[in-house]
Amino acid sequence: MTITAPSFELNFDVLPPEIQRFKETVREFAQEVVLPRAQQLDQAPAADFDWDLVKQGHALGLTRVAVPKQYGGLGLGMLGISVAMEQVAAACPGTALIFGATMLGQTPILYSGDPQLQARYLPLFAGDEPILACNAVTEDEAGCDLIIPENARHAVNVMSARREGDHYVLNGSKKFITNAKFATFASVFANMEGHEGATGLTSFIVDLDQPGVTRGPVADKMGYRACLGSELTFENVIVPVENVIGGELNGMAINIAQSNMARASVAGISTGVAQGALDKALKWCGERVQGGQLLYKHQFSAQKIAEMASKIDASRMLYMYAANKVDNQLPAPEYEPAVAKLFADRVAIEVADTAVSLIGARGYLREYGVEKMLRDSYGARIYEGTPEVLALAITDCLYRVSEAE
Amino acid sequence: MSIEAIGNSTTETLGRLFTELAQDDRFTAGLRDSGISLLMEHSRPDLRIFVSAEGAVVGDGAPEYATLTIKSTAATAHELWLGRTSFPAAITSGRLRIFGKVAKVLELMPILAPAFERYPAIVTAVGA
Repeated sequence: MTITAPSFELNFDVLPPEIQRFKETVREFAQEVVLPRAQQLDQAPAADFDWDLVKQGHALGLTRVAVPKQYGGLGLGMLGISVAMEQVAAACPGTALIFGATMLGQTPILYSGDPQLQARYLPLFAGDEPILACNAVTEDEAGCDLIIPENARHAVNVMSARREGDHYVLNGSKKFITNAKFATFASVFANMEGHEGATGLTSFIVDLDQPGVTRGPVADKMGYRACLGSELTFENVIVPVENVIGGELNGMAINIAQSNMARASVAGISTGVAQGALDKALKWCGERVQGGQLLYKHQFSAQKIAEMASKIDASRMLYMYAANKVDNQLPAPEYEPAVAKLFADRVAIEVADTAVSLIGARGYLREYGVEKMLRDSYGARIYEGTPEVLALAITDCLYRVSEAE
Repeated sequence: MSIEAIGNSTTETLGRLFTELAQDDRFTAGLRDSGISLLMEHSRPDLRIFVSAEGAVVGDGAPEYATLTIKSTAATAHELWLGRTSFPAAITSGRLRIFGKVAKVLELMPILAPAFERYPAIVTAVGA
């Protein structure tokens, strides 16, 4: 019995047709619908939320990009998500993260391999009305301690879980959780009682509209103001045993696997932030005349623009490469997504900073929207892996390969 | 019974599992409808098993390419089909790796249900 392997050609020019079409649809949504509202979303009070924007994004499929087609999703994988996130983030990264965080909340269910769990939750995203999900990891005293295995035993006051018959009881609170204010369910990580620090971390899917769950106040953030980050408090919250992902004590591995999957999409968001800032800079430098010629004709300005464009192209290629790897192996690779995010997060800040500089005094004014991009650019450097966490992941991979050789 | 006790019977238990599944209409229909062929590459001991809607090949004659390739030790595969570990646990711990479209892996999971049903009986029969 022989099976012919498909011929693999390296093709940097063409996305898979389905993803290309989706990218163009999302780009139109981002430029025509999101961008005109971006400034208003940024300057509105912290607790304001634009459901109409979410509904329109949901209608396009942005709440279910990675959900398999058999459950009503688009089935476009991490490459589809990442490409879409770049397009939305170029207009407003806060809006992009509403959909990105929902995807993150879905990921453990996708990873579970449990058809019954998947059938209960994933079709919810194909309904007429949008629903959101969230991923609840960070706590008041535990951030990186819940994603670096060596730190687990040092974690303190981690949210707890205990088994009682056919269910678990959860107690504790989570902080800075995107979408927590409105999410239907959350992927929640809690430490099994009797285990030191976070060594007993376990992954649960928790319905948030139930007794014992309290949605806390919204954080007033520097950027990403279109999405809401808030607290979730759990007081004797009941979770059925069927809602555990990967069995007890595997939460750290699930969390890491989730992050490895998601980092390419965050790199997509950072690339979008940089692209949005570059777009504004290009417009300005293509219209502003000083010294008798357009700004971009001046060599120092041209060098800045060239650097910005080069970095963005490199960032884009890195996240697409990483996303493609994520879509073609399990567990998701650790190295390529970490590299893509580390690079893209830095590029977003550098490009946004240069854009503010190029646009001069007007770059400093709110009405031009560029200072917003600079404030937004710092966000991705914090969530889903800080540069410090990513550095540990990358060097761990480098030395692991060296040892194998 | 542990995989160590089975020892050289690994070929028999794991190979027999997929040889039998290749005769199971429910299993083969799932593979056909999803367009999936599966290659299991085990180590300790080395064993290659290929299965598609057309049949199963165990050993060196197994094709080099399949839609999805699953790599693990024979012991991990044994634990998995006995239900002592799960796919998420085995994957996230790095004991099991899958190559090929992840979207196809999601389609594969329900198709594998008969494997979990059959394997304990096969192990019992081999050990008997």
